[in-house]
Amino acid sequence: MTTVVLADDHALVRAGVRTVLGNEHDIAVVGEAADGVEAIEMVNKTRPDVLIVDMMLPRLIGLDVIRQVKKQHPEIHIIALSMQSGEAYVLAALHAGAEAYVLKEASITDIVQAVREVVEGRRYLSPPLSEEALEVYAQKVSGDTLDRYATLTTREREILHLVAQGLTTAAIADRLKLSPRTVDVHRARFMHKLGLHSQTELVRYAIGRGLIPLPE
Amino acid sequence: MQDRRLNGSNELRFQTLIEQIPAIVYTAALDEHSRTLYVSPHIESILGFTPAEWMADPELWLKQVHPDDVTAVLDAVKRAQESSTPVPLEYRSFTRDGRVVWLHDTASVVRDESGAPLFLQGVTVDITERKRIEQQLLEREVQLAEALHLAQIGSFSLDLTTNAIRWSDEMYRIYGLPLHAPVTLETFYTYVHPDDRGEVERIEHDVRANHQPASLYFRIRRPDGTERILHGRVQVERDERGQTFRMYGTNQDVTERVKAEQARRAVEERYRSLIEATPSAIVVAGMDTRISMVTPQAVVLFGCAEASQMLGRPIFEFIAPEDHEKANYKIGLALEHGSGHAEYTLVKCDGSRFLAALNAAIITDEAGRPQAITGVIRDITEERRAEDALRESEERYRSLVEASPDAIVLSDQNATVLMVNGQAVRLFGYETASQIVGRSVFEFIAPEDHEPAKEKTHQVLTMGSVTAFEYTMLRRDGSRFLAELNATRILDPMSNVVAFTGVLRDITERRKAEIALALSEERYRSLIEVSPDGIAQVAADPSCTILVVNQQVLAMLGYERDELIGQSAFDFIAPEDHARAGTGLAQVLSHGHIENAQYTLVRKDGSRFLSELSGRVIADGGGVPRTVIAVLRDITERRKAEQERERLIAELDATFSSTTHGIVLYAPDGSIVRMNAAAEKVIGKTAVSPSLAMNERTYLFDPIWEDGQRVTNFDDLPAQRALRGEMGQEVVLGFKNVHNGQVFWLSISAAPIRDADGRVLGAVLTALDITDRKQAEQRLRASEERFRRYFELGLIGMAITSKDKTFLEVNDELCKMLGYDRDELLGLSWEQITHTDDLDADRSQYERVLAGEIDGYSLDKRYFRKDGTLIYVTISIKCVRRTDTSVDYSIALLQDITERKQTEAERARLFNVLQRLSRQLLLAQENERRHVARELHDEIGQQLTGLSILLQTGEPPASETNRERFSQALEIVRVLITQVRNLSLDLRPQALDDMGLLPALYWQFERYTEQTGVVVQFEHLGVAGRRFAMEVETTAYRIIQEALTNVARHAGVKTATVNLWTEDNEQLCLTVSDNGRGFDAEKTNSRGGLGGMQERAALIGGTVSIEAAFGAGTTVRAQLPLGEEEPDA
Repeated sequence: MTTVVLADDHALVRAGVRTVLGNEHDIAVVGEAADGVEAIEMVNKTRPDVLIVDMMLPRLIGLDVIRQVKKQHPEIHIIALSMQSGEAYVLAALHAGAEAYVLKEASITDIVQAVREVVEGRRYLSPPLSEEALEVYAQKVSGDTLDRYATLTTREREILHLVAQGLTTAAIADRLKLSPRTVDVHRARFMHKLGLHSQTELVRYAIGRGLIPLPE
Repeated sequence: MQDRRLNGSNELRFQTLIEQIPAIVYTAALDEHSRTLYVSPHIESILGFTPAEWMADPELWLKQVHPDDVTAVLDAVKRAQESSTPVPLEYRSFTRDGRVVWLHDTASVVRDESGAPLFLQGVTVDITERKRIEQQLLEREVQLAEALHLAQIGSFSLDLTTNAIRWSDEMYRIYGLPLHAPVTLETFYTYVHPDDRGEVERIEHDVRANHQPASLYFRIRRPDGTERILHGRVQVERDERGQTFRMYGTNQDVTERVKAEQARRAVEERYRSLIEATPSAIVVAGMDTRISMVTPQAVVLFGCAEASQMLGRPIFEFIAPEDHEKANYKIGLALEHGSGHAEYTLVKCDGSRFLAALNAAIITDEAGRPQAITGVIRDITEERRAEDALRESEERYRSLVEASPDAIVLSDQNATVLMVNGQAVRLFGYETASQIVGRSVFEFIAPEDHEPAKEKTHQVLTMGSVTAFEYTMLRRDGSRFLAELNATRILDPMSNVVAFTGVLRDITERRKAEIALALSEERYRSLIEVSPDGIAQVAADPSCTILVVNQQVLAMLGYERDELIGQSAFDFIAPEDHARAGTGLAQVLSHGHIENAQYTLVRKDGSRFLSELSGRVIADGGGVPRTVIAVLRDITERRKAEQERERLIAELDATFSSTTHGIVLYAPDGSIVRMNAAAEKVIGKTAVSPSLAMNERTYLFDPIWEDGQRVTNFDDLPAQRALRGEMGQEVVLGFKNVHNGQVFWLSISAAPIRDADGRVLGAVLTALDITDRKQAEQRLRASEERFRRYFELGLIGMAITSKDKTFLEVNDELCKMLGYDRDELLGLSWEQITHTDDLDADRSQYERVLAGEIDGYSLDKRYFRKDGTLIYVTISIKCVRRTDTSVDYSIALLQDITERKQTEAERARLFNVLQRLSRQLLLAQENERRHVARELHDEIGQQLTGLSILLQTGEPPASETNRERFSQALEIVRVLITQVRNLSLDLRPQALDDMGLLPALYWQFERYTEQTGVVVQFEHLGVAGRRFAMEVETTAYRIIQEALTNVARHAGVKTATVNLWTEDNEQLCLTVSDNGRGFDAEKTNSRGGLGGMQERAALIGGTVSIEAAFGAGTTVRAQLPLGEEEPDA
């Protein structure tokens, strides 16, 4: 018999979930909570196998409940129940310690499957969520994707190319009809943006980017 | 519930805030009359109606609108109802008590979630005062523009963030561009002269970097190719935070002024170099008789080492004391007549004296007042000496003739007697020469000798002379005597015989003596000894042995008699003359005589001298030449005098042809005798006959006087007057080309040339082309006139202040500005009435002027008026320096800008209020959206979800129909859930608050692609895992949302690129770009949404710019300052 505590501030939702789970003979809802604080108390009291917790609980939000329960009772399996299908939410819940993420709008049988999967120590995500999509997303938001070169203004790029071609400040000023000082200001700015500190680094950068054609 | 309470208090605060602001906030129904639903209490203070009264009459608001503005107002209401963006409008309205107030109204339609219009919401601000000030400002601007136009000053401003340039109309005129042609920083630089571009850029850069005002002179090239010289001034303007945001300044076209100065300097330079280059010695003295200028030649002439030895000393120190009285008298005459000529004994620096001819002229100013005396000095010592020598030698000849022991008769070729000497008169028994002169020579020859005499005359004509021919002559009393005649002819330069000379000697006695064998050698010797000339008798053979010499020869040669007698005459002739002397001897022997042969003789001491020699053969009774009598004369001095005279003539000739003054010599009939090259050049310029320049009018040129009057009477012209004997003053004449109206100017003076008796022999005229100088003068005068008018207009306060800062002169406008009487103001220094806080800035600039770093400056400052109130002015100071560059005085222009300052402050305040209000409104809007979104999602959404779960878990109904309905209901619940969620997300994605910018953006892009089919390529840098201030995140999110909406709507592309990055943890940057159609950013300033984006960014201190061009895609670029970072949510 798998024991379950159900935490959701909407009585209607709790009723729905309880009904679904009640149809399964090997799953028993041993406690319910209408807010985050209640949920913690209920978990401490009943020590269920599984906690089903809504992400948007009053008083203590779902993520905090997940973190706290996972810390005090690492053995309890946690299923996040949510209206939010955004990958950011899913990742946040999983990072906090949830093993399953079930969308409220998903088919009702999902929640049953989720309980069975987590008890077996597996993860479960409601369709259309998938591990692959999560991974792709996590990749996208984990680090920088923008090439620093893209942050240069048109004028800075122009001058970078001319510097890379070996033109002097005076020659560039002459060609672009700017004052040498203006050219120097642009030059200092793009060096800074690209994190370059010397002419050598600049040349290396330019070669790396193919701004300087290398002899065959 | 907590949220709601919170929101309720927000609403209350919001309402309190709205009722606090000095503006009417209202909502109006979208019905026909735009019935007012709510109006803030402030309406009473502006229009005099209470909100209740206002709302009671649905048409009241329209009734109060000024009739002239009703159409515009109704139109604006209509536009506001149709548009999604706020519609601003300015119009007039009547207050309850009938006053007219200007209102600024911004109204926009508030829509519900589905976009259906709910009501009109607006903010109305009283701008009556602003309108009034704007009107005054406008008038002032027009006046100022006129003044600036008069002063040819253009003004410009340059926005330091956008580089947008604004030009006054005058700028376009100065740059020769059509009014309001587009100007950017880059096009501006294309007008700057390439040589000056670097300097202008340097100034621009300096001003941007140091914020110090600057000024410079630079050249521009107008589109038509002409070059102008401009004086530019520039300074920066700061906002209340002290940040510079604008550069503004003036450009003044100073081409004419600079050119006139250059021209005048060139003319001066030319005069100075002309004077220095002149070969004449010229001394200029002031009216105090002290010398103010000397030419190098004068310095040499007076034997001084340098000019400084003469400068500053009275001219009388250089005139011999005995000539002082004469000099005083002559100066008086010269002052009367303008010029004079005299000869003086002058004194050199070393005290020695010399005789000089002095031509003096008086230099006058334009009013004819004498300013200086100029004298051209010529050393005539040598000249005089030569003349004296000539006169002396002439005297000597005459006395020689008179003193000659021979009778000498001069006749013309018709044998009429022209002259006889005393001997001849006595010889023929007459009393005076006049009894003989005029009669025929033949009357004095015995009739029997007439034939031989005619024959001999013919011989003289052809051969040149006859010697020792004997005639029988007739005396007055008829008695006869025998005379020996030597005759020669006198030729004119054309070798025509003009006269005969005959030397007659009564040989009756000689004959007697010969007969008596008595020619006493002693007597002969004494005879030759009395001769003033050297007389020598030499043997008439090639040996030329000296037989006899008189005392004069000994004196000439420096030998004793014994040393000469027996020697060859050739020993005393310079070797180089031996050949000529040999020829001369041969001539004497063949012709019997030689006249005026010149040989160089050598004295005993080896020195040489030039002698003139006449010789005559003495034949024996048989006609064989025995000896030659030679008469010698030392002519060294005479030669020297002649050479000196030739040199002088050559010198004058050179001067004549080389001087830059045109010089023309006239014959008495007005025809030109001679003119120099300069005159030909000057007259050549007229391209007409030479006489034109002086006395004729031709088809091409109209002579005009200096005052522009046409010359009507040509007798008044200088040459004509001089020919009538009038001593002319310098006259300036213009010659106006009748075809193109161009005038060239000559400075002309003419003087008569007189002979010793004062008869006019002709005239000399000098002319100098002064067209350049005249043109420069005219331009200068015109420009001065302009300035004078500018000041008299009184648009601007003006003062002249002394070096120690006191007011020396002030105009009425300034007195009015400062509230002082002129007399009170003149005693004050500007420091005394300057506001204490502005004193340092003004002083430090003035110090720089005193130090010579700058010549002027301009700044805004405050003065205390006499009544204690403050006046804000812009002052422009320009100092005038003495020749030693110290400050003489300063000119200050003061412009009252009190109202401008007030308007600026008022506008800034108003802007601030509006901005704060906008920010509040946006915040309130976002809060409201967040609240509603959460409510929809968390409450209604959850309830629906619960419902859906419940429905699914219940037993399906038994009957087919009910099952059908049941599943329909379930489907409706699902659709509802989706709709509620979308509604919530559209309002504000919860992820933005819960998860931050990046997750919210990813979610947004996904939805965007679903809805529009446009794929977003999104890259970011330094953003992952970070949270920023809520306003920053919201602003970035909304800008990207807006920009992407525009891409989908206008660009017609399948891909959009979004880049998001942080720079130096100071700002969040983003670009949204597409490769689509783009548009002309210049023309479409407020393309839908851009204005909104900019406003949003501005509220948190950020900027949004757009780069777009037809066919080149569009990039929206935003920079948002980060402020404090939010702790992780």
